Amino acid sequence: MLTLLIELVRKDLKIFVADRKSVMISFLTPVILACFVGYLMSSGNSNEPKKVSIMVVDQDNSDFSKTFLEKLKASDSVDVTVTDEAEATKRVKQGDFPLAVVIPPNFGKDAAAAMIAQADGPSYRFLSDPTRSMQVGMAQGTIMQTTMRVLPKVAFAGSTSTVGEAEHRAFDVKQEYETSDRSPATSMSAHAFAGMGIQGLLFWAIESAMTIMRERRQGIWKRLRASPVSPWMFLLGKAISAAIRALAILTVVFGVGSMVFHFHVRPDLASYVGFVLIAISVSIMTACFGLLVASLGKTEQQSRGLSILAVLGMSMLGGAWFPLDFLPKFMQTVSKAIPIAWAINGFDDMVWRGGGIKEVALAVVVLSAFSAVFAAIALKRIQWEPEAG
Amino acid sequence: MLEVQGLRKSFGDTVAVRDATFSVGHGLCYGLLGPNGAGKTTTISIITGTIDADGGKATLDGEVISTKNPGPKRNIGYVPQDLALYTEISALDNLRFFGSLYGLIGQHLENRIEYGLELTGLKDRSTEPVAQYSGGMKRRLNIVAALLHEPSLIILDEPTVGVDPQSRNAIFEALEALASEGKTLLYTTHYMEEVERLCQRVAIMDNGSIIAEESISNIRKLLPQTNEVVIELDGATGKLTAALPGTQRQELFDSTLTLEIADLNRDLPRVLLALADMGIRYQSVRTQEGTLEEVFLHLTGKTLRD
Repeated sequence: MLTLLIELVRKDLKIFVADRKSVMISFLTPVILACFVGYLMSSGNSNEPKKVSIMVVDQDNSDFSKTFLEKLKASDSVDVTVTDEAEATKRVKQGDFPLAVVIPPNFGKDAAAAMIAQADGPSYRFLSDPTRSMQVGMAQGTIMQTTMRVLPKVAFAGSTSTVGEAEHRAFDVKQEYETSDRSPATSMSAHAFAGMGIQGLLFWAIESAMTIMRERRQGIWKRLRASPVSPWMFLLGKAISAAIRALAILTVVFGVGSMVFHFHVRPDLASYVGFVLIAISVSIMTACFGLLVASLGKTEQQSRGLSILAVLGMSMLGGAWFPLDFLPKFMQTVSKAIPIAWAINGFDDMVWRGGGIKEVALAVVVLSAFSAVFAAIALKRIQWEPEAG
Repeated sequence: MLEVQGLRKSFGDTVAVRDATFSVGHGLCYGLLGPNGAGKTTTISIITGTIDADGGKATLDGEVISTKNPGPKRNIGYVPQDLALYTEISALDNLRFFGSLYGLIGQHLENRIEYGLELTGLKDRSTEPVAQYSGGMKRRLNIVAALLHEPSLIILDEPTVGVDPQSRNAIFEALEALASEGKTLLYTTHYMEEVERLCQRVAIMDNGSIIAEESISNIRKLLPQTNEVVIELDGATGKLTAALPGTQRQELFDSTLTLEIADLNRDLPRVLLALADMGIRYQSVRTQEGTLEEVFLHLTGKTLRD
């Protein structure tokens, strides 16, 4: 039986490597996707400060506005260009800047008076591009913070009081990231590699399922069924060969990721074993998903259409495109029923959070359960019988 | 011995096979004839254990054939109508795989592969991917894959569809060699001449039923008892002015006279005497036996390729 199983697996692997272009596509697609998304995610979390370019129109021309501009320029959140109102309006409209702030005449004087009298003060005029609300929000925060630091100094100039003096901070925050390498950038790229890698793997599983269905259409199944070998043996052979190929693809994806983005598992045996366990579980789940796809729908077109929709939905709800925290609470609950979420979480446990066998055990068990369910449905539903002739 | 008794199979509301019964003795070549949709492939699928019948049974040497019984399957070699091959890999890899399904391993497997490749003339190109083969070569390889485990019954479902005359001849020679080795062949085809060349016995299927089952020589007797006689006249056809005695049909085209007579021994001498009396000489006289095509047309009212 083992000899037969080896032959079944070997034949599928030979067919896989015979088409070199297809092999390249199978490996490169998830790698390229993962690299692209990984780059986007890691650069978004890089320690290098990202400045929002804004324009400032100073119509006040007071001590306050001069100090305000000086402090704003020193900020590591915004990049300031001083100009007139006409130019500012034009450049924001053109999309060159997300925001221009106009400091109206007497702003400093009126604002200081309002502060002392605890009355309503004057307003800045913000000219903003509504399509860039995130950058506008960040810049507005910096402007308000700078105003609150500068205004008391101007308002209480000459006074012995130092109320509101904000030249020093009472406390500061030092942030640490609880990851395998203490770096948010490499960890986000590791998450992206897990998400895109698994999504790519499931799309590959669909194509693998199409191959199974083509074999049926070509009459090969009839010949196989006429042999003394039982159907479950054929499916087992298909599942093992697909799992081996999936594992190879995952190895390449994470191999490229660790070389390009420098993420890695915690350097101890528990973490290495945990990573291998989750990778094998994901590969088996992918292979069984392929069998499930092959058992759904009577034609290749039907199965492909259904399964593409399913993979896209699972990828989105499973956190392949963005971390699950971005989703509403009820969707995060729904994601517990999606294998991709468990797979990504398992890889995150290993590569992002620096966990070991204990941390990944639940994900391995759940993915194995998904594999068993997929395989059982496939064995029950798969159509061996040819059409009437 | 293959015995098929009262086979029935439906797909939804479509009845594919209804009460098919026939038997194939050891060492015989048996033809199963019928147009598309007659139920041949479904019958063969049941006999190969690919699908199960709704009723009736097929047995090989007394053992019931079913999808769940691997026993009889070890003695059946199935050549499907489709080219059931992995075209991405070589003929050798295909044969090693299909041989392994029947438990063949090692040197025995290699010997059987060599035998099959030699039998079908594919040895020289056995390491090439099957995708590079011609249609005829793929058909031959399709047959070899069914012979590796030395089955006692070989079932061939239209094995010559779409092949060139040269490959068809190679396939025929291979099948004749198998027949001479005492293999039992069950052969379905659209081509009457193939059945007439290979088979000793034939069943005709239509609409899921077997409508005739006879030896090749006897099945022609199912035609109405008339004989066609073709006489090439030696000119002077103008002298043929009256109906000839004993003829049921008489047609003259140029110098070819075609007659239909009920009894060859009784009526042909009378026809020839009548021609001599009219002063008409003839160059040749030949009789034509009813063909399987005519038998099929007579039994079903349609041609095999309908």
